[in-house]
Amino acid sequence: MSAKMLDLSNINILIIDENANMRIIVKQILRALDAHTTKEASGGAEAFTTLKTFNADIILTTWMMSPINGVEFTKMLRTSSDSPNPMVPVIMLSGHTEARYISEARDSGVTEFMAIPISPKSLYLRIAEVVLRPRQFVQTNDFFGPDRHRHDNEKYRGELRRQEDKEKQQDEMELTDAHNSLLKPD
Amino acid sequence: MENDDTEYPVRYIPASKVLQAKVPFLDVSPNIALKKANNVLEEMAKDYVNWVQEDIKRLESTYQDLCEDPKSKDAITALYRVSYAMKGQGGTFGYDLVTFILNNLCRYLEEREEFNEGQLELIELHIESVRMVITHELTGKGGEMGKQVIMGLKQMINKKG
Repeated sequence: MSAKMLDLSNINILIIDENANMRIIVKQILRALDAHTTKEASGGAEAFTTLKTFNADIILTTWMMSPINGVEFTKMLRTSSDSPNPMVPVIMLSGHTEARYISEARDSGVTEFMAIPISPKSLYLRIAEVVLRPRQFVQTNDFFGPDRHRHDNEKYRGELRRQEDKEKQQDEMELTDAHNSLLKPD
Repeated sequence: MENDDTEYPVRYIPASKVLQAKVPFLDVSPNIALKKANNVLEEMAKDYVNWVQEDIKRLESTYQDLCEDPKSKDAITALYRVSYAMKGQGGTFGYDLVTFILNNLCRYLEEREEFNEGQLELIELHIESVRMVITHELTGKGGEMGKQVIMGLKQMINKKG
């Protein structure tokens, strides 16, 4: 299969990070990937305000922010009655990569988790993940957000996971076969 | 699809295909754009050694605040936040040792609520090590000098950690 690029030129991306340098890095990578329509926010409150006028297709947020961190922001986004966009995909960029942090991020309603330092390839793959394999949403008594388990082709994924688990424990970070093929040279 | 249960009601909302509709495939390889993005980062990396100086100053000033009050939660948090931001950026620009050293410092700060004199010295050594990596532009593993920096840090951790 010939690898094809996703056309990101029509999507709106909101970048949330309290560190201005990090926002610049992410924005520059996105520009190079032809994702030109971006807005920035330095924290959760500002992001909420921005979302009222900016129809974000994807949110990239860091974990470490004050006074509202990325996990708290995501919870608010998913469950607050005045949330401007409770179902928008959220990709969390975090230096906290231990399983308990990934689990906490998932429980807050994060769609995909991405370890920093970031690279163009890792960012592109995470965006491809939310575009090509969107998650269904789940609403329970105490949770509203993307399904924390994938159900498509479950049997195949299960077998794949068991094999991968022998080699690496962080299957949360796995790349799909489809995305790997996207990145194969023509 | 809805799946109601009296005790534990669970509602499933099908995945949205709106984003897919807005993002068609182009008849080009993603490797072209990825190469362009990597080139952009390489250009930015040339300036990184300059603008990271401000971050190093912030590391030092937050460290000084912690020295003045080694039990201050605010001071620990402030130092942690600068370290956390820098560790993310270092690796992006090829300065893997900055990421390694500051990841170590973040872990060290997470584990404690106050610091004695020896532990403060160890924090200072982390900051000094970062400065050395940047001053000598030790990208990647940093060669022989990089090895020495890390070895010195490990020895201090064993001694004072």
